Amino acid sequence: MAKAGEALVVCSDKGMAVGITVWDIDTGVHLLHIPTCASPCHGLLCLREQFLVASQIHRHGSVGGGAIFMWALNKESPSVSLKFSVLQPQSALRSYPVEAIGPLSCTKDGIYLAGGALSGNVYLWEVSKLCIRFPVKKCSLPRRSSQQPVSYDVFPHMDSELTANGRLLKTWHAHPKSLSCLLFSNDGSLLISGSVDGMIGIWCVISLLDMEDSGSLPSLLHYSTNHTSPITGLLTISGSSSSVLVSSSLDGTCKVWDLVTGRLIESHVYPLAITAIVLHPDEQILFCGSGDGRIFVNRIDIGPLKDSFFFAEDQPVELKGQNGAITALTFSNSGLISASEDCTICLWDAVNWVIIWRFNHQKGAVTNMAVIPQTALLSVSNHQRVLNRLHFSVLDKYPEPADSSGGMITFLSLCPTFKENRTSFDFRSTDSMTKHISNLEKEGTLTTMQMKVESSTANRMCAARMTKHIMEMNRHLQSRLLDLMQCRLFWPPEIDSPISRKRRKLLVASSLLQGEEEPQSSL
Amino acid sequence: MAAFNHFKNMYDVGLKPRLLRMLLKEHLPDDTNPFGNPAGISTVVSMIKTHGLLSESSVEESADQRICLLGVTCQECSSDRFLASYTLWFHKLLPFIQSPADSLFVKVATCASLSDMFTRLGGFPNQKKDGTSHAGKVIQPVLKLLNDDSSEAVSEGAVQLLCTIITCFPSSVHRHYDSAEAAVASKLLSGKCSADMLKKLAHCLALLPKSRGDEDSWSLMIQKILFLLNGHLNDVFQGLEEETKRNEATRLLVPPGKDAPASLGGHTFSGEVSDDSPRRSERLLMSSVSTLMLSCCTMLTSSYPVQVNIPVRSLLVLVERVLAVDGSLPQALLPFMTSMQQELICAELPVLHSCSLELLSAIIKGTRSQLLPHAASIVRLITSYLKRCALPELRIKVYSILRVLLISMGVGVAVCLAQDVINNVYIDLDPISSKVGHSSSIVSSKASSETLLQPGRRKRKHGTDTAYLEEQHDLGGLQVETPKNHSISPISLRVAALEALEALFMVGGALRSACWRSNVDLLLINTARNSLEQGWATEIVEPNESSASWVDFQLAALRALLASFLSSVHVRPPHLAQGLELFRRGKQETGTRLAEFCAHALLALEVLIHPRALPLTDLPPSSCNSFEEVSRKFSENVGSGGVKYGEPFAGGIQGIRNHNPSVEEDDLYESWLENGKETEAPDIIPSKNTRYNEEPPEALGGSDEENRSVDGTPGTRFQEKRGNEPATTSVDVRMRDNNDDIMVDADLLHKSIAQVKEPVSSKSATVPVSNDGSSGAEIVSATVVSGSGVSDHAGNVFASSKDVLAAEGDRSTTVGVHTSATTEMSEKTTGDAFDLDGEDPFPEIFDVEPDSDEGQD
Repeated sequence: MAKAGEALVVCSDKGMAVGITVWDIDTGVHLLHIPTCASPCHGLLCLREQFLVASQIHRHGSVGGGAIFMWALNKESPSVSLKFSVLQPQSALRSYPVEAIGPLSCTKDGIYLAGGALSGNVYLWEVSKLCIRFPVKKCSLPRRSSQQPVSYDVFPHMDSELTANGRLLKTWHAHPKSLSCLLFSNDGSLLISGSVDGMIGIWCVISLLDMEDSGSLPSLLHYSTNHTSPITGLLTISGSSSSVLVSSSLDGTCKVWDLVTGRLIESHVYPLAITAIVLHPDEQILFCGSGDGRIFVNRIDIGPLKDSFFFAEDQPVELKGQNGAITALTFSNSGLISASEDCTICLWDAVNWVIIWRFNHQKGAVTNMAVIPQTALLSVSNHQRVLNRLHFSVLDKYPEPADSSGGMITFLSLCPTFKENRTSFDFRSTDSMTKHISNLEKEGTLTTMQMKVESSTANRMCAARMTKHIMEMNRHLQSRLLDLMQCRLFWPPEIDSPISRKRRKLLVASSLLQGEEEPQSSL
Repeated sequence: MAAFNHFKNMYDVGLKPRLLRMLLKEHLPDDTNPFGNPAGISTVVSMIKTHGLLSESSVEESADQRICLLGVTCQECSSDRFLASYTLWFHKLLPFIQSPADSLFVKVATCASLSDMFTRLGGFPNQKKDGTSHAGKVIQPVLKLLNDDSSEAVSEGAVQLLCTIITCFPSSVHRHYDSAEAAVASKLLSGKCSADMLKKLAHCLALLPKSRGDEDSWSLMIQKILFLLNGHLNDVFQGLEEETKRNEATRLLVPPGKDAPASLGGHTFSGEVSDDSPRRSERLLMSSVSTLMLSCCTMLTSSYPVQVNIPVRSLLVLVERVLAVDGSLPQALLPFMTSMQQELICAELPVLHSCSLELLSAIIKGTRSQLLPHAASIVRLITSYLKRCALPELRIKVYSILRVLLISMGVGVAVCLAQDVINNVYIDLDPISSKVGHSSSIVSSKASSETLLQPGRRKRKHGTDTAYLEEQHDLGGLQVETPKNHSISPISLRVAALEALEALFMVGGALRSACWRSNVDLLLINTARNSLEQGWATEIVEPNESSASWVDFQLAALRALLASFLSSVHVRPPHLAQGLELFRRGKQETGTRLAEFCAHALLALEVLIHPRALPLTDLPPSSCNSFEEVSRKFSENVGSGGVKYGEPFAGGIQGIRNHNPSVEEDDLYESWLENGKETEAPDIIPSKNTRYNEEPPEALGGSDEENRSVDGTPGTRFQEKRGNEPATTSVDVRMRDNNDDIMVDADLLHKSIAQVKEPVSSKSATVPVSNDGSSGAEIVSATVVSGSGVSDHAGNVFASSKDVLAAEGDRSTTVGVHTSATTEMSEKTTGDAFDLDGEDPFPEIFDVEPDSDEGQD
């Protein structure tokens, strides 16, 4: 289990009972089965390796709108015993949009989710918010414990607590026909939509979400009707400066576009309808699954622009092994994975291009595949590994009234973990102290000067008091001396009563002075 | 070592430790000598008594020094000692902070020491409870210190201590939350603190909600701050903005039907300052506003234990409101404002703007991609502000925000921002660009903003000169004339502008096919060149302050240049040759940051210049057929990659000038090489790839024909383009006849270049030339360039090239027919079309190292 293998998630559109099946890619072990799911093509995605989101097919008989189900992959449980067999299918979080939703796409950070409806409308939700959990100090913060139960198997709680989530940000009529593909560009700033009539639209999400809707920024950057049949696949190449889009269609072509300028760079023509495309992880090779089960291998070249369309006459290398039309293609660490209408899934060796594993999905042709790390399936207790978690709630059915702009609130995603933050504090105080010490030494700063001034004023006060003291004493002594001299001069030493009386009188007079003198002398 | 470290006499303090050490060593029992002499012990005792060895140092120490040392001890001592004695230390320190009598410095030192102690204590998870209870005892004295109108040093220490406690033992502040808020807030709004102190207070205020750690405290705090800010702004901007804006901001903060949040710290502050002079009160309001904004920034960017709601809308409206005020008075309000009031506000406005830009950038950082719904309004805000903003410092901030926006939101925002970034970059880099000039091209785009700054006028004035210069530059790639740099924008601003441009390239490289591409390319190459040309001198002279920032400018220019090269996806960067030259020259500045970066840039560009056909790492060659096909096909395609590169230029769309032909040559060469290999093992190649098989013999064998075909396609084009200068091709003919001539010519050319250029480049130029000796077909096309370069320079005109051209034209058509099915050869030849342009005699043209290999083939 320590070795992080990968798991293959597949689902079909044959019926709700088929559900989602999860296999271990390396061993073929059946890991998990989630019932009640039937998704159309491009209707299943894995959000940040934590959630499975699947739009549900629209049955003609069924009443009402569409449905989008979500499952948390890593159920949070206190038990640390992690055996895959123990993994129980989890209750889905069900949202019911107004219309039936076909293709889905989400941004890389898993915050926005777009869904395309059969009517050609596109819905854009703010689907989740980022929450970074703090592994340390769980107990010390009082309210946090109450946040703990907000885990993914207890969805009803989340509904009530996180109401601002799942907001329907925007819905607009994107195509006249129903949508077959949706794709966010890698930076999440562009949304590409493909329709069953072969039309491709490139939308600027920023202008789409423009609240004030001033129209200064056009939301539809480009559109193209070059494809004549339904779009079956959209891919972007993740270069940051070169934004390149690859589209495939049932008309047997794969076209390479410049996303920003909307220019067609390259067109690959195949003899057959292309039903699925996938890019090699290093983004140089394009694998195109065709209607008869062959997979064409071709090189993507996004070099400098040609002045005329360069129709690459492909002599494609073909991988043969599937007997029905390819329905989905994806890549894992082990190699290419292809799913076909013959109800099998093939894992191709990345070196020899031979089938090294074949899964049988008896319940129906696979429409969607996703590769997730097996660790995503593990129940998490309190591992630091899962610091970044998504909170998730039911998607809104209707957009918020535009008026409530005061409630426009986003969630703070907290960047550093608590521990990291703490260390940054460690030496600040010591710095401040050493600063003070050096201040003391230099005696240059305002603070020290202030202190110097303070102490010297204190000294001066003290000195002044002393001086006053001494002067007082001096005066006193002087007066005593004068008295004495007076006595000596005017009253010669005769010992008689009037004199002694006078002396006593003098003493009394001087005692007035003595009242002050006594505390002083005690000093 | 210490043997001769004599002390003064027997009363020297230094004697004591040495005596002690000696006693310990000689008389006390230890591992080696377990049973010491009992008599020795008595000697020890007597010694200790006589010399007072264990008595405390008699050196006079003031209380504060001792306290400081205790703080240091808290940091440095071992964990065991710390845990054993921190309680004791704490009780020693506590009285100092409580008693009002002690001197200021004692208090400051105590605060610092306590702060250290708590910081250390916070590191022991098992001491939480003790620490919290200790910290709880400190809070009230600390708040008292803050409330007392004592010296700033003390308040600073107290705030610092408070911050430490909030961080390390948040729950201890819990009980005193309100009084702490009141103390900090009143201090903050008192208007008696220095700027530094205000920053600390703002930080402390922002940290305060952490002590509770719940969502409500955070929300309440930011609401209070925003409300107070709003009130302040209402006072400050009275008469400067319209009533509607003010009402909107208030409505956002206090939605109808809800109560306004309690005022910050539970005080009413507005009355306190009303009796002061207007000047003072204005300034006070301004300083509080900026401090409160700083608090908001800190709250947005620092971590918080739980998720919180950010009132993004209110924050943005606040920022918008401040940035909208530029000191001008609305007509209706003119009579209500004295000029003095206006003067006062305008004096402080830059600070306010700067703070609100900080706030904006904090909002962006804090909310990340969740800001997307507000991105459009931010874009509008920024672009409209950038049009009005003229102060360098503020523009730098805006540029940095632009950069963050571009990188975080990617190509979508680049679409919205590109034109504004370009316009403003032109304004700020103008003094430089005006020298080289592209007056006609950008005037239209910057017409609106030009009124703001004067440089535009200067540019037009120099129109004729610059046109001439541009011509010069196109011909020789030599920008000799560098007039005095009348830099209007400071270097730091130009650096910021270049960085924003770089970010634009990083995310929106594909946008470069827009109309501004060629102008920006020219601007960049000239900026880089000018920065370097002035830089060589200054760096040699002396590294002083200004040259240091000049180096930043150089680096920024080169970085932007590199980004521009690397990001041009569909069109070959037109100034690549000059750029390479700059990087090579920069690399020679040994030991500088510049050299480091240039080396990196050359490494990064290597892939662009010499595209590689690396086999995919996880697809090693193996015996399996299917894979063989795959890999072969890949290498094929890469080999013909040069084809595609060359093609758009063959059409003569744009960017014909200033090309580095060596690139195409190498591609061509590689494709040949690839093809040659394939001929050796043709049996493996799938039948559909046969088109590749047909070509190599021609390519390698018939060199003559090849060369003519190389010249053929562009020949006609050249005729059109330079009808008056047919000399170039005839030179080619002459040179093709004799390889020795070519060498000579090449050398001559180098000399001629060396005369014009700096000696630096000429030196590097001669080296690769020697490799050309064994050149086969390739060298001819390489020297074609040199030939034309020479002709351009020397002005030699060779007549009668028509026949040659005609012949070549014929051949080109045949070649075209021959290869039209595969489009291989004709494209290959067009790849070489550029060699003929020859407007760029930079030495690296000859840097065609594969040539020698070619000869061996």
